[in-house]
Amino acid sequence: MLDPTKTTLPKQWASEFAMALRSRDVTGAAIGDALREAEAYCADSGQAPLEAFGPAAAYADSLTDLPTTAAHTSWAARIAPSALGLAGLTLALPTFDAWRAGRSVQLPLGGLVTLLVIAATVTVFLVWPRTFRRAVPFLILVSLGMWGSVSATALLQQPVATLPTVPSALVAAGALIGSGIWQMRTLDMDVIVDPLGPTPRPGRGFLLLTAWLLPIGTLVAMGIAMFAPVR
Amino acid sequence: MSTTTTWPGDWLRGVLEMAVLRVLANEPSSYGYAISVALDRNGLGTVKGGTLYPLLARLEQAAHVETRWEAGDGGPGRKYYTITDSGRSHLESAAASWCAFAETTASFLRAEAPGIPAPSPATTVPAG
Repeated sequence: MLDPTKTTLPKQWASEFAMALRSRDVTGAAIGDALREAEAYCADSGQAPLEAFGPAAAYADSLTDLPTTAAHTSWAARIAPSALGLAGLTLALPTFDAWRAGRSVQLPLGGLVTLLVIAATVTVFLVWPRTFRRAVPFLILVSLGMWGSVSATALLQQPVATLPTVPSALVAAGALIGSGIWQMRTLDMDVIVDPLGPTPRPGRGFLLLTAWLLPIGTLVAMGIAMFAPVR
Repeated sequence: MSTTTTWPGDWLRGVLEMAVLRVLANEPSSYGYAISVALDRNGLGTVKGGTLYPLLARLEQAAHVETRWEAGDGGPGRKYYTITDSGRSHLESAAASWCAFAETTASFLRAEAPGIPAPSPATTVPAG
């Protein structure tokens, strides 16, 4: 596996270049090839990548003949399993609290706002995918999304809906298990390959952990919640 | 022959693919920077990596070249390009067409004004 920031190219240029190619679904092998070629050309010519190739994103756009992943799925299809898992997580935690307290599920406003913040973040990526190929706007957007989600969960705890416990638990479990199965079927582990290094093969354990991250995270959060007083 | 001449980009775009294939046809195999140097030495001027590599990717995708990586000896590894039979026949055919076009163009551009045929009435646009 090749880390774009571990080449001899300037880190920012290499990261933006790799991210721009990735956003066009160029395969990990082709991205690794292009990175190592740019590195070799700069070393041979003594030029900086900006001088030899121009801005990273523009150069990535000019490489129109690189192979792309066979399963060319839309952003929406790729994000859908995670969105389902997040919806399950949002419902599972208040349902767990309700089960411990022996009452109906009170869905907090913060949970719904969190879902809306995540949906808004995803929508920005869907509508302007090329705008966020630069590292700084990407990090700002993700940070804002995370800050909004955490703040909403912490500050907006007033209930906006009351739901029966058992159906809520079934829906939450269904959403979480469904997201894990869906992730297993669609997970794309096309890592950036170093053409001069060994071919990386992600272990099955790593694949399972990645696919079931949200269900496992929910169980961990429930385990931690066991130590909190019943509300 | 190295040159400091900078040819117009439009001209180079038309001929660069053939020129790169010609460099590769003259060598057992070569890599990006060496191809760029060979083009410069042969009078085509400096071709930047940002122009050369998209073209090499296109040639690879069209199976006109084959590639292999070789680890560098104390430096970065290099991707070597070798022309294929398909690349050679493409070069022959494209070079023949280009030479015919270049001769026709040169002959036309050097012609005196009376030698240039006037447009036929059928191709003139009616006034009004």
